[in-house]
Amino acid sequence: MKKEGRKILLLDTGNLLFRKALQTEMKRKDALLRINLLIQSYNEMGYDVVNVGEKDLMMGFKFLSDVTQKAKFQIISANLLDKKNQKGVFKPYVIKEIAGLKIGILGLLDDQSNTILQEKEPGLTILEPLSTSKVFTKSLRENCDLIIVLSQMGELKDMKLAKENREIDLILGGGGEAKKAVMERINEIPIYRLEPRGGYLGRIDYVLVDTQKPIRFLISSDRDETEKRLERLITRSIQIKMEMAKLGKQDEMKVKELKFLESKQKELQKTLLALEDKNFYKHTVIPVQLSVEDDPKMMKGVENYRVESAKLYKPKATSLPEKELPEKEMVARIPKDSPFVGAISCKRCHEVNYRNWLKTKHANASQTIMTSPKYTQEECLMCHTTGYGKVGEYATVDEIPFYLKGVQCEACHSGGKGHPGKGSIERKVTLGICRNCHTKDQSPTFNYLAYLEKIGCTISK
Amino acid sequence: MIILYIDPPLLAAPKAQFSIVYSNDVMGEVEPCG
Repeated sequence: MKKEGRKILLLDTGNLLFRKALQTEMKRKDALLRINLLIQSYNEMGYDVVNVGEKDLMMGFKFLSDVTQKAKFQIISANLLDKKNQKGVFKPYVIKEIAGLKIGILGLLDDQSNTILQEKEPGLTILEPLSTSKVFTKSLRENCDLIIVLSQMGELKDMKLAKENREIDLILGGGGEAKKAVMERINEIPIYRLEPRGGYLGRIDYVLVDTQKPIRFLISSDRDETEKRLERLITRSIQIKMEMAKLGKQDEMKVKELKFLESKQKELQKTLLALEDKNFYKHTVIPVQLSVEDDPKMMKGVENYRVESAKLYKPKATSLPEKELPEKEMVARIPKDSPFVGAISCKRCHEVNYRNWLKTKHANASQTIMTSPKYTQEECLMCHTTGYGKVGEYATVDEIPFYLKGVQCEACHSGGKGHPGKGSIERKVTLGICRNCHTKDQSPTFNYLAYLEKIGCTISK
Repeated sequence: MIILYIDPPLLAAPKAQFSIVYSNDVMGEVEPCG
């Protein structure tokens, strides 16, 4: 887009730096390497503004402040305050000028995380975001043509914000519990958010025709739909006329339909005429797939990170998988309070499935990452083990207990404690479950039915 | 063969065009399987 000479504002709504708390020194060092790479990449891409997310504060304000020293983009948050002086610790908003328009960009955090924040940062507080937004949008409206909120409040609060603060022109969301993309319009205020983890970029193209203030933009899909409806009406009218010409006589029903279509045509033409000199915007989602060409400079940074990160974990590439224990002893070694009981426990009733599973790549999924330069990185372990993040987190494959090593039955069917009887096993493995790991990027050739067959989990009992 | 041609509605020339590109929750959590 930049090569095309298009004027762009590049924004991030937050939760950029951490996924979860860093429990070991090694993970902290790895996170620092990754954060440096992220900031360097964001600088390179020319990001303009980044909002603070709740997880960005996971290592405390000082840490965030220190690591973002190298950032060329502006970090904002309107409702994260110093408790003592009640002043914001970051700029509450930024005003950017683009295509002759002044655009106010305001950052908001969810105040629900206030309690957790204050355990780590007693000197900071998060103000209630809705009323805070009203204070800022009121003054921003005096100077700005468009007001954008970068939110980390989650979908429901974003919708509430759109209902209660009509000064806003666009809400770009994030945070909260929901993991799905959002494309909503409330009070004509668009709310957009993408699926997490950077697999997509959102793009909103604005076309300015009417410069009369206040500047208003309408969604182009409504106009496009009206155009399509008009096209369909015209085509049908022509068809009827041709049919009547072929018959060589007037058909009462057809004449009636034609009249109706012509009156509708006039209505739609009038609507389109009224939209002729209006401003429009169009929203699209760009999947950042493998087909998207890598930037060589950025890739160099990624490669450097991988090398440095691998050094931290000192992989034992030659280590062999543990020798199997007798079955009874294996079952006895599974902690009684563990929600995951291991494939070896499933075997008692589902022996055919178990034997099939042993032959699959899922069974050896942990071993396959041992020789990779990405060895033991969190990103890999999440999908190459069972119950990662739920039962435990490990720095190396060697540390994973046998009943969680590889992608075992419970990785897809959920924890088996209490099954059969009390447990809540997922009998059917849906596409959604597979897609947690077989993403479009990581598994571009993934085919649900074909892969399901490969896994060989046809119900035996 | 009938070729239908419908005139596209006249649109006023744009005075300016720009784009907002955004990302969110880049390090956000995806439910780990299992």
